[in-house]
Amino acid sequence: MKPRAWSSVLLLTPAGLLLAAFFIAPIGQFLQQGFLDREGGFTLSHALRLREAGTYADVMWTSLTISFWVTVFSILSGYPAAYVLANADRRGKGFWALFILLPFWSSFLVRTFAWIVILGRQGPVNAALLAAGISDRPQELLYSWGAVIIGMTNVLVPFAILTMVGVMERIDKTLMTAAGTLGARPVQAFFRIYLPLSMPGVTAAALLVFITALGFFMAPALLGSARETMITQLIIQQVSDLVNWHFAAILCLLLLAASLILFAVFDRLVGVSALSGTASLETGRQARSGANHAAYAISAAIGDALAAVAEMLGLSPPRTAGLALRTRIWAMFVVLFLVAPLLLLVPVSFTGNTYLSWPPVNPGLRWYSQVLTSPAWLSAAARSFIVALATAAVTVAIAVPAAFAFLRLSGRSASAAFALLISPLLVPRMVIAVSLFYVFAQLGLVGTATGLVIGHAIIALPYVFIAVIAVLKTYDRRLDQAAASLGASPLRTARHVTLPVISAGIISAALFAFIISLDELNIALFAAGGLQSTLPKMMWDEATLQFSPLLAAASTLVLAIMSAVVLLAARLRSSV
Amino acid sequence: MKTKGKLTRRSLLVAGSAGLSALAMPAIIRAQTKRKIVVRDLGIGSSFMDAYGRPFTEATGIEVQPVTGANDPFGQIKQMVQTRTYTWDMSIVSRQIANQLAADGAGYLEPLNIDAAPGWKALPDMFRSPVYAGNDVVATVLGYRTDTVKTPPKSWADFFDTKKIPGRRAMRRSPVDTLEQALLADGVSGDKLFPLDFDRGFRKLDAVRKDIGVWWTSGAQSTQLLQSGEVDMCPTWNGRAQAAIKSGAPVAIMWNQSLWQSEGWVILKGGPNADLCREFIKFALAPERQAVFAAATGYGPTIPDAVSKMDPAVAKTLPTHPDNRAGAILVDVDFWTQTREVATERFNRWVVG
Repeated sequence: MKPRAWSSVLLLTPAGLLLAAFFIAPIGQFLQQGFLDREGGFTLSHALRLREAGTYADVMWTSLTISFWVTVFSILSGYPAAYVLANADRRGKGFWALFILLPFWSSFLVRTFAWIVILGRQGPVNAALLAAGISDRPQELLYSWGAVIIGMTNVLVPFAILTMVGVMERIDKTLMTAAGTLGARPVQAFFRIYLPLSMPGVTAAALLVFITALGFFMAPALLGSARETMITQLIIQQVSDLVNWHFAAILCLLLLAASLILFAVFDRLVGVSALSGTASLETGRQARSGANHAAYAISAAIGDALAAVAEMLGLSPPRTAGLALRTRIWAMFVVLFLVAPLLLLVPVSFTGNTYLSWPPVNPGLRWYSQVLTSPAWLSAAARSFIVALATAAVTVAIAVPAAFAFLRLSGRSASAAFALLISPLLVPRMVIAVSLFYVFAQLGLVGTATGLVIGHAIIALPYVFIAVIAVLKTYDRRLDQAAASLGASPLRTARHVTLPVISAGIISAALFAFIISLDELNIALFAAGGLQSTLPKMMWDEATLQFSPLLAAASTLVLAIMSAVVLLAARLRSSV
Repeated sequence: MKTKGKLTRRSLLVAGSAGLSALAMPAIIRAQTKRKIVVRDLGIGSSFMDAYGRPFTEATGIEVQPVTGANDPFGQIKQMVQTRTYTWDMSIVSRQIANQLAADGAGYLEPLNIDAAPGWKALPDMFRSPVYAGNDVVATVLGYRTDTVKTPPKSWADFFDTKKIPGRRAMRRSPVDTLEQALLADGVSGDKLFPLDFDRGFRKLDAVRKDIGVWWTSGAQSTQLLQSGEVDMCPTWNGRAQAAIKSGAPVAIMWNQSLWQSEGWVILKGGPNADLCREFIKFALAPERQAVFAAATGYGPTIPDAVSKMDPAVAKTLPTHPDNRAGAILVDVDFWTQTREVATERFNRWVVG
């Protein structure tokens, strides 16, 4: 037992060191300011301000409800898409993966801006409503709860899908056939066998989406009315507008507390232990905790109920051999929703107009030539790709051993390790960036590519960690034991057995890191002083200053290049 | 399964080594041999480099690297000076930020000491301080659609009168500007505006709350609202409304009771290139240079002479043109420095509730 514990500690060390130096220390310093007065003495005055103005509790509540609904919609719409992606044959997989990943290759900022045009008074939705005679005047679709939910869900569904796919791909399809042989109707088999087996993916996705949603500020600011104000908007206002870091720290603590409470509730009801090794399949132990057992019973009951409803509605269940047409149609709708902003951006990028609007007029290549002849854009693109590759490499190298170690832990130490590794998720990215500046300044990393990689790695780590755990969870540990019993050293086992089997999952985790880095704005803005321009930084400048079709052209270019790379990779993979 | 595993492992290795070699690249270190300054500018197209950066390099051989920073770089400048990490050497900031940076602690700005320069002498007192040299005037104005607004608004009172001028309205999501507009609409005269009477201002805002369809947060958003016709009327910065007009949208500007603020040059305290920055500021404080900048951005020059160096048609669109400046009111930035926090909290409560 002892050497095992030691090796767990060893595997967690890189992640621990990175987080301690570049997250916990700077954030701790930042949060501490919540209890300091101007002279550095202890005070509770900032904290008491929370109570005086009821606004903050209201805004926190709004943030929670918005995040909740975004999570519900992300899981509901993401599940069938993930199912189709996981169960398609090779060619189908390439096709679906391309479309599901497509939105990732255009900046999240740009997609949010696209919704402003889509839902606007003069936008295509209103034009269609008018043309169809459904309404006689433009509807006010923007600046509402619905617009915020649509914009946020649109950004987060792909994350949910990627997280769930990792788990679904490893579900043994013969189990469904077996259920059928034993007399289960397809619907029943799906809800009692497939759904419970995919639950680790669903819970991981839900947690990820919820906590990420809590930190959103751009979408509610651009798409919502004043009622849809979220807590991060107020934190950012304190940091950048009012420069009251003391009170910003208090608001940050409020957000942290809310996230932690949520996390605990989630753990109780659904079981974060579903993510940890304690209830994993490979141990073969049936000793489930009471809460876990209850959760299992509930999920079975829900499964039966859902099956009954689905049958009444005549919904065709997903079949094991091939995919039911209706599931594919459903997934098609999800994909359509996902790419909606792109369907707008691509045509608009050819417009002759000087601002982003629908419909495009006097088509031409004006904006493309502007981007392609601009050294600033080209160097930003090169930098972004290099930084994203490095971030993916660093994050995976750190998250994979940490995930292995985590799955060996149990109880308190497991929860602690989990909380540590996902903690960067709980702090708004802008606060991370502002706090990192001080550490970077001491190390001479301000305005360097290395600084960007470190900052991005901190932000991407939780996502990669959760994705890797979701994959490892379904990995059959007995393979390792078999290898060991045949005399393989742990290193050889990892190299020749474990890593090859989980490599698909690891690659999708790396993709996560790559995407997050490619789309990360705050580090470049606040921890790098804007000196090292990245693509999101260029897009941010363009979006906040011009709102010109140049944005659409730049993001269409990135989209085209990345799609080509993904297609090529898929081609290479399937041709050998 | 086996081939797939092998292949993906290989591609993983390739990706990994590419990433590692990128990491191993030396951090980009600012060249110390060349004379060069880094200037945080407003990032309005190429206006900064066209008007100041390139001509300055041609005249002196000193290189200029522009950086677009966050909107109000107060925190960033403070951080840079505190840690002596001079990512930027100098910056253009609003007068309010300059005053706040100068007054905070030991001060974060370098004294300019360019009293002998002709540009400094030509600068009106209201646009300069020992650490600040004004570059341009930004006016908060009312932009409105000429296709839907039949009666052109003449004052903030008109904007607040939803019966006289119906239509969808947007306002800035901030107590700054918004409260001034409410008080002017309520009949407070421009010279008695400051200190602002918050109670009265919020009462006036209550009356129009349901008519404000959108609360905008970024300048580009206000331009888009006017361009697309999402709203019929929207108070914004004059350059923002001008951008909508330039793009061909049927938009006009109400200049009466425009609210003036200036933006100008500051040098980060203790920076290694402070003297080069002084040279730059002396160079930039010239009517010819300011005329180029004003034409590109729509913001008015601080040196009065600059207007005469411009195309009269363009000069007419600037806040500092005699036709437009008649009803202008200079914002008391120090009042806002003291009250902004309290006002923002109250405003947040009001706007959310």
